[in-house]
This record gives sequence, structure tokens and C-alpha cells, in this order.
Amino acid sequence: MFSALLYSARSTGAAGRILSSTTQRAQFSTSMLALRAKLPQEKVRYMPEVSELKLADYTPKSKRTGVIARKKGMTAMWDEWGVRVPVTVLQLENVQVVSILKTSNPALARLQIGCGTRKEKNVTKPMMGHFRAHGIEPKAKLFEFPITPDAVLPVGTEITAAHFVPGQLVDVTAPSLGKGFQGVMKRWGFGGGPASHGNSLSHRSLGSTGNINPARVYPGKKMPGRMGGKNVTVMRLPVMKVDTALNCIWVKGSVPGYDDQFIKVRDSIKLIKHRLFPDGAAVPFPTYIAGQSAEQPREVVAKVGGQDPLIPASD
Amino acid sequence: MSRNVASSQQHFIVPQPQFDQPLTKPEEKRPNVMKVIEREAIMRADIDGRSKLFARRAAPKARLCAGDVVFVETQNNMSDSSSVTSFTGVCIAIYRRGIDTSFILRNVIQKTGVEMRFMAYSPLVKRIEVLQKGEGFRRAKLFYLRENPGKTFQLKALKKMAQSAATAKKH
Repeated sequence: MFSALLYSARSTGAAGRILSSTTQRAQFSTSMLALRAKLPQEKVRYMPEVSELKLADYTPKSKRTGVIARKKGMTAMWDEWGVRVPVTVLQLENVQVVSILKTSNPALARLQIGCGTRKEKNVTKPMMGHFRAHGIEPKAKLFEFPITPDAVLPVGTEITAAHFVPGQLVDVTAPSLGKGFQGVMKRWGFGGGPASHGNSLSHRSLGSTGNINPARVYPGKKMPGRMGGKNVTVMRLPVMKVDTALNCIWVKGSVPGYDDQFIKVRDSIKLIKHRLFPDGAAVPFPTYIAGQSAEQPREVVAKVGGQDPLIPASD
Repeated sequence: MSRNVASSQQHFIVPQPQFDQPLTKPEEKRPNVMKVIEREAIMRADIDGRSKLFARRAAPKARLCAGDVVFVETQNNMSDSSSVTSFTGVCIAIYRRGIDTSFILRNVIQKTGVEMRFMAYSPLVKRIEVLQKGEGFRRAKLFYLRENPGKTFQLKALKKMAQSAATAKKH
């Protein structure tokens, strides 16, 4: 329903119209075909219109925007039961909405998010034009995030660490550490050859590469080659702590890649037996807005909850 | 009047004491986030001045050294502060990692070598006490004591622990 309100079809096509009967649909398709035959093909593009930044009600189907953060390093903390939790610190440096992108699907909008700062002399002219057009300072990194139309933010909105709720789950995407040219045992987990029994020079080799019948190697055969340096997504990492003054979030466990690199953080999409946000949490939707959202202390730590894991079960 | 009002049943904990501003030093022009975080975490965890024991640049008398006889008291869980376990041993290694600092104690109890690793700033570790300074150790890590203990684990302070373990078994 809201898509009809928020979206405006930017083309001459009447694709947004709702057609009830089959006859109407048939007429519509024939008329469209005729139209397309005459006119040069033009795709229907949708773009949500947002005028002002204001809080909205979060629904389980809503999809908030993700952010680009910087991996700062790993440390440890203790939860309320005294259990040590290894954590990675991610910092949000000048994260802003750079532009709202047009999409072909009215149910999915896209936001372009920028992170960091870059000197103007180091920015190419086309990119500088892009930043000027939206009235944004040059950013070091840009990335797009798909969202639902109710979570659209106006251009220039700053996203802070308070966008995340302690205890929620996030997915983190970043290029992994480059491992260089590696053999099949390390790269694909092959078993290798035997250590003895007359084995010669093939302790770590891959063995056969296929049958004699096709007289060729099938595409996609796992072989030695470059390993690492590719995007890896680690899913369902709990946010352990949020610091609004340092603009940092603490994420449980490790995150791919090296320190100080840009990584993408978004709300978790795989929610098996889990809720995205902890019970009783006020969801900052579409994001945390200073002045409008309820104020929170500088640092908030997630409550793990449940029973004390250090007390042995008595039965 | 906003719709996203924090409910009374809080899902989060606010760490105490609260610092309104990050603990940066005036000489730091662009503060290193990890250092600030570590400083704050140690300020919070340092309840009895134990951070001085793990300072890298302190006189050997003031800090914990490999070879010292150390007594550690730990809570078994956070729910019941009365259930406590204590352990005495020779410190054979210290791993200085800021808030993640840990050390290993070794002792011989009932003819069995026992090693325990303690996290220095864990909220479960209630007390760390140096009973006796070590003498004649020239290395940072004393793993050689596993093979060549000599008379290291026959010290009076360590024997007490072995005796108490023996008496506990009798009762």
C-alpha cells in the first residue's frame, strides 16, 4: 500500500496501475506490447520520495539500511555472568546517506551510504560531481544497501553507532586476508597423499583431476590458486556493546580482513529461532535520530540473559 | 513525544563507573580508539590496583614477575559470591594484552603437576597476591620448569597448599 503512496513511476508506462480482471490485464499487455514496439525501450524506475527525517514504527518486515564501518581491532570483555567474550571493535566514521537510487522493483529501495573522508584533490572529477550534486563532502568509501521503502532516509542523514541495539544480530561483510597462491589442502581442504608406503613427491598433491572419458578437465575443478582476498560474510554476530561517543560497536567474535579496513555491517537476515532485536528494545527505526529518539547513555552493554552458565545443572 | 521510548524492563547494562567523555590524553591529537577503549576497560576492572602488578615498565619489586609465588582467589560464579576457589602456584608466564592480560600458575599437588591460567581483569578473579618474590629466574617464560623443576615447587608457601589439599581429602 505504501509503495503506491511513496513511489512515483518515472516513465510513461502505466506499470504501477493495479489491474483486477483478466480481460483488463490482456488489454493492458497488448497495449504495452504495441507501445514497446513503437517506442525505444525504457525501463520503469522507481524512487521513493522522502522529505524529512522522522521516526517511524518498526515492523518485522522492515529492512533498515546497513552501514560501512572500519574494523579497529579485537579485544575482550566479560558478560554479566563473568564469561569472557572475544569482541571486534567497529567504528563508524562520518557515515552518511549519499544518494537514494532508482530501482526497478517498487518493494525494494536502495540507499547509497558513504563512509570516511577524502581530500578533494584525491577525488576524481566524475566522483566529485556526484558528491556535489548531493551536497555531500567527499567520502572514502561508497556502498549500496537494499532496504524497504519505509526505511528510506533523506540524503545527508548521518548514521551513528546508536543505529544498532546491544543484543541484536548483524551480518558483516569484508574481504578476507589474502593468503597468496595456495595448494589444494589449504585452499579446499583436500586430504593430500599418504606420508609413506613408497609415496614420492605427492604428499600434498591433489591427485586425479577427472576421468579418462571426457578427455578434459571439467570447469570448476578445485585446484591450487589464489586464496583469500575475496568478500566473506560472517552471519549472525551479536552486538555486545554500543558506544555513542566513540561511535563504535562491539561485535562478538572475529570479522574478516585486516585492521582499519572498510567493512559492511547490516541487520542479520537469517533469523532462525531468534529475534533480530532483544525483547523490550526500542528499535531505532529508520535510524537513531538525535533529538527525536529516546536518549541513551554513552555506553550500553548487551545483556546475555538466560541462566548462569557457570552453575552446573543439578539433576 | 516519540514512539520509541525505552521500556522500563531494560535489555542492556550500563557499565559503571560511567565516563561521559572518552578517556583521551591531552597530548593525543588523534586518539587511537583501541587504546582509549583499553584504558577505560582497565579503569573499570582495576578494583584493587591490580593493574600495577601487570605494568610493563615498573620495578620488579612492584610488579608480578615470572617465578613469583602467587595466591589467587576466584569466585566460582557471579550469582553466589560466597563460593570461592583459591590456588597458589609459581607464576611461569605472563601474557600482557591490556584488558585481556593473563598469567599461568604452576604447582605440584599430590605429586601431580597442575597449571592454572587466570585472566587478570576477569570479574571472577577476586584477589591476586604475591606471597614470595622469585629468585634466580632469568627468563620471561619459565616453561622449562615442567621438565626441570629442581626445588622450585618445594617452597614453604607452596607446600601449604599441598598440605591443605591433603587434609581436605581426609575429611
